[in-house]
Amino acid sequence: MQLHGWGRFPRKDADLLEPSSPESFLEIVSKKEIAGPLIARGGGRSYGDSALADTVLSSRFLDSFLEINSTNNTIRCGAGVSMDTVLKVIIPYGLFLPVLPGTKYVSVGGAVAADIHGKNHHRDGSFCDHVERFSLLLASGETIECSSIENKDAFQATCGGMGLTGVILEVTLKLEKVPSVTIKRKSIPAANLEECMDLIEENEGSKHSVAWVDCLAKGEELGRSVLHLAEHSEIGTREYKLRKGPSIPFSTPSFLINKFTTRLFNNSLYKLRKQTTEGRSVNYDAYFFPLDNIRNWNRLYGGKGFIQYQLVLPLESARTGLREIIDCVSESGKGSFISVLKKFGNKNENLLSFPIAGYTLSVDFKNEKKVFPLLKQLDEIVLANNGRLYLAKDSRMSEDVFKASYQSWEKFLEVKKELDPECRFASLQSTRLGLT
Amino acid sequence: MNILLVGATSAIAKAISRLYSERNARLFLIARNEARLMELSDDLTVRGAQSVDFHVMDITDTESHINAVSNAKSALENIDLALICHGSLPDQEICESDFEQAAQEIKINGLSVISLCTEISKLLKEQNSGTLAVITSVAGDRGRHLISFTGLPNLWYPHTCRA
Repeated sequence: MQLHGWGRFPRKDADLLEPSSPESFLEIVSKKEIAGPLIARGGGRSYGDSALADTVLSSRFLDSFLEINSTNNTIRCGAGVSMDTVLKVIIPYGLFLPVLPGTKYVSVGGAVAADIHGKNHHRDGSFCDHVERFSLLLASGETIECSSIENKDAFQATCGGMGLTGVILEVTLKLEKVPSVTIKRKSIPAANLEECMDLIEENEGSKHSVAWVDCLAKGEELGRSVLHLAEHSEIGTREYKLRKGPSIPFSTPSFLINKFTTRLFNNSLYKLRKQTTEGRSVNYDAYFFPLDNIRNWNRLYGGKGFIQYQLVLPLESARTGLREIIDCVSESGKGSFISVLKKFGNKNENLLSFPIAGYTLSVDFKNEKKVFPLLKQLDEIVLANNGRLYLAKDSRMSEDVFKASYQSWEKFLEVKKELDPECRFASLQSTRLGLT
Repeated sequence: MNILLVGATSAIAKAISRLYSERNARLFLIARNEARLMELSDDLTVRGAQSVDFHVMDITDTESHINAVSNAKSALENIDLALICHGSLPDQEICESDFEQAAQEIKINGLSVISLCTEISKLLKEQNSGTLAVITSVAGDRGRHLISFTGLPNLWYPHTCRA
């Protein structure tokens, strides 16, 4: 069948297998007659080609919980369990996931494989900083337990390793005790990028911090934005909530996401946020997962899909580098309405994890021929500023750009060779990046 | 709510039991694979089930049905809902040419259901309350074959069995 990531680009004819248990995974991985590379797939929320290969192993049936420990605040579950399902179970205990991505439909295994980050990275680090341990099925058929102490090399290569070390079967997560799941949000408009970054620095104590940036504004308004700050409210609900919004039933004609509608959206958003700068209580779902309310929003970019370009620049070069990047995007008129800026805290020790201390920006681009030269130009700015691109969003980065920006790639390959000497686990992305 | 699920490790029973767990139901599970029952029991407990008990049973061993149903009664006290979810997906062609295979499928998809329905309905009558439902395949209703081994309960229990 034809598979694609959340960006709907690229696409690949692949055999999608859905093993019903860890034992079935073992059987498949041990079967030498399955030709070509294998890769695991969780919720299908990585944007590009990191979960595309000749044979794709879905973790959807690794969907059981094994244990919740409300004394130690940990939960053990199958890698295919979604963030949403974890929240459903833990919220009544007054617990919460310490790191949440922009969608609740990411699987726990996928979150480990991409070492995802949230709006609180500057304070709490990335997802794998809260992973106590996981079990990993290797190409040999052996299952090993990995933690920051046990099989440390495998742990650090698997966290952020995009599924290239084996299949993550079960994960034990450390959870966070919260007073409620009501979120106290404050929105502050910023006239331009400089002002926005000043505001982010001034509000560094805020637990969650993320700015929505208008990547089409020019001149003095370049990088005008709205900064959203948030904390868990002391008084509020402890109820799980599933919002049911509209769905985009099919790929819309791509002219809907053109320069004018994008600009219109950005303008109205800016005005809307400007009116609501005072603190406001919202449900966690609305704050953390605003786009989940529009099911299949990825279809808005048309049949050819889109590319989400997420970069990070280190602190020392972030201001000038980001200005240059937003300038480029603004001049091109191709930026999307979803441009997100946030500050990262320190990097962790995982070999291919994306975050480094600095600023990260993500911009969506409709997949069209003209956009690729622009992205290449952006790559050069990123490299010149010692930055890097996020593997979970990537579908087109070159091997050179990857190897120049991920300094630990050679160490990663050493560990991969030990865990997977015949290179059984590979994806379109890993081949493109020269990892397999 | 107190729920008895037979064939509890089947995909449909698993999905149902998860929904009831979220509503803090008390569950009694019957299936043949103990390891899978233990896993499911842990899963349902984490998801919010008030209690989860289980009984290991080969469904074709109809003599053991009385004991299984009685264990369910002891664990749940009152059964509000009994769901029969077990079944196999027989190969129609093989069954048409191999009597042993056909007999086995009839036992799994037909006789065992009748036996369980008999025991459970007796108990529900005694309680004077409760619902008994059999989840079965629509294959028996389609009339694609003169005999369809998958949908046997539909044919034999037309008033109780609805897909």
